[in-house]
Amino acid sequence: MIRRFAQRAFIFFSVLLINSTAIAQPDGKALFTSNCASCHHPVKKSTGPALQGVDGRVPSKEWLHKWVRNSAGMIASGDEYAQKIYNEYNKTAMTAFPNLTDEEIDAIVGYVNSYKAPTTAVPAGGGATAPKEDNTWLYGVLTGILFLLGVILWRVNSGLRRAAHQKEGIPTEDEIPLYRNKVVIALTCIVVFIFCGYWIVNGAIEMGRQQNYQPEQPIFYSHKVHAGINQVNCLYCHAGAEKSRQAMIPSANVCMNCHMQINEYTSEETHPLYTAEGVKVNGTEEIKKLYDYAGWDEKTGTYKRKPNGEIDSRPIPWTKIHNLADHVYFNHSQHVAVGKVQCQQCHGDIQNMDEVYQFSPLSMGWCINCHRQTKVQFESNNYYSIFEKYHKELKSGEREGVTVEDIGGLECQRCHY
Amino acid sequence: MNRTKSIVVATLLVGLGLTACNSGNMRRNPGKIYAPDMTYSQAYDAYTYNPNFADSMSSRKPVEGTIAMGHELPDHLKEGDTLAYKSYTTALRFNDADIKEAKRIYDIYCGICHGQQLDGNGPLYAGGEGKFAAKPANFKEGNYLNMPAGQIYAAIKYGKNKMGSYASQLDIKQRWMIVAYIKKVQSENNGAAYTFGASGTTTPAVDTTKVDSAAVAKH
Repeated sequence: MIRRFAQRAFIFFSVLLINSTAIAQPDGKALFTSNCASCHHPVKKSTGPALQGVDGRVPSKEWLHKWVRNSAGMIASGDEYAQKIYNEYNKTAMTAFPNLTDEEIDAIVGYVNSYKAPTTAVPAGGGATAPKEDNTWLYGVLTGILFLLGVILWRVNSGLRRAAHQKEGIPTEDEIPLYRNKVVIALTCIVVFIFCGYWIVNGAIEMGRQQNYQPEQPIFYSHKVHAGINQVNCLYCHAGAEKSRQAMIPSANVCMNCHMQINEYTSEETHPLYTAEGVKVNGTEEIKKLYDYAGWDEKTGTYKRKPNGEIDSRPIPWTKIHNLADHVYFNHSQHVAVGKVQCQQCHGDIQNMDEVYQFSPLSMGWCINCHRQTKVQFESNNYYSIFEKYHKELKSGEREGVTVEDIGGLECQRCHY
Repeated sequence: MNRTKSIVVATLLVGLGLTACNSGNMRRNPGKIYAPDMTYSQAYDAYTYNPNFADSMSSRKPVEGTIAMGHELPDHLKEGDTLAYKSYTTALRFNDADIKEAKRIYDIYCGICHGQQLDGNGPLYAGGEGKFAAKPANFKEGNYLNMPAGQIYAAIKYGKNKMGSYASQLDIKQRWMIVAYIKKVQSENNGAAYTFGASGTTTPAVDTTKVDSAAVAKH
């Protein structure tokens, strides 16, 4: 009896033990993330090849185990497949992982083969929001019809009245035509004068200002996708904004920092791209345009080189949007680094613009207005340490704040020299 | 009467003409300007097309062998010389204010991939769900925890694998500031002791304008 019980207990515990070893099998995903993911992706080509189906491609399972533990040794030994893969990936040596066991490597392969690319949930109704329809023409037609109706009624009314007068024998005055009616002429003159005056003055002031200017760019670069959805900081690309006069238009190598890896536009469902005219844009095609300018060969994952070794790239001919007149000096670093002005204050809601337009008028009145109202950040800002009088007054409470105007922000020579 | 009429018509036409220069909310055309030679620079401005150079660019690289005022002396690393990277280091030391600034720079230029927690999980990677397929280095574990400072510096300067070069965005001092910041955080996470601290770590921020002139005098 006792013996039988012991036997059963033994079986029970051995089953438990086997089960627990099954549970303790190496976690392929964790191993992949910590060891492989910086150079490999299951389905995308990265520094190394995409790993899905790797066990079917390589000569044998043992070959793969050996390769992972010591790839450099296999290349040196003259293994054919090893040399082929080494040359295909620009002779980038794979880090050796001597500590990975056969089971762990198999677990990684198992995870990679079972990997499915995350599918972005498509919102109900397709999510593709076409630009809103413009209804103003409808209102225009309605107003026109109402106006016409009014005129017809008025003519009918006066015609009827004249007929009635004739019947009753009351003498009728000759109706003066509208264009000779003095009141009508006077009213028309005043209205025309006001409207034309408004048009002329406004047009004359606005001429030379380019507010809302939204040129078509050589590449459909969406600030909304980059600065909004993907949270790239403005300064990442426009690093010069706090260092120099120019905010810096990023050179293609800055784009390639991310786009070496990101070669397709994947947010088509959640954020489809449209030009201001409502024409659909293919984001992936736009990235291909960048590759063309940057001299990037997508197939080999390297830059195309000229015979002298330089990268075969050419500058992207962006169209300048903010044309501040040449007789005005403006310095980005003065405003961004010293004045701590946010980009959006002058450039508007840039993280929500697919195509950028000029948000501010960039007129002198606009500059001056801001210089009058904006208080300079005086505290803990060494740049203004020489304004000792203001510092004293601030300390004694005599003065609430220092505006840009107070430190000479309205002097002509500040900007015109 | 005719005269009045013609005045009215002329005014209308001028008004329409002027408003046509600035019409609508969306405009693909920059419009007319009064004095183009005062608005558009006659000299070659930054980023303008320049016919005098084969690559057509007006912004030129600094003359070889020159150093801009207030900038660090150049390093003499060669790309690919990994042995030299490992032993390379700097004499620069950073106080608390510098490290605070370094964190700000790190968050802008590195945090987008490597994460603001330095855990290799920035918004672009987002645990493998993001746009960036390759996993950025996690500075808090593995080989990266005790990676030599010079090697991190070289990675910033030349790029590494799928990371591009940041030399055009970060000047030499900023690169070292970022390295120091990473090393400081690593030292707080079981990494080697932090060695880039300035002796007086609590000194208040100095007048940068004065420091600059001193640095210029030194060069």
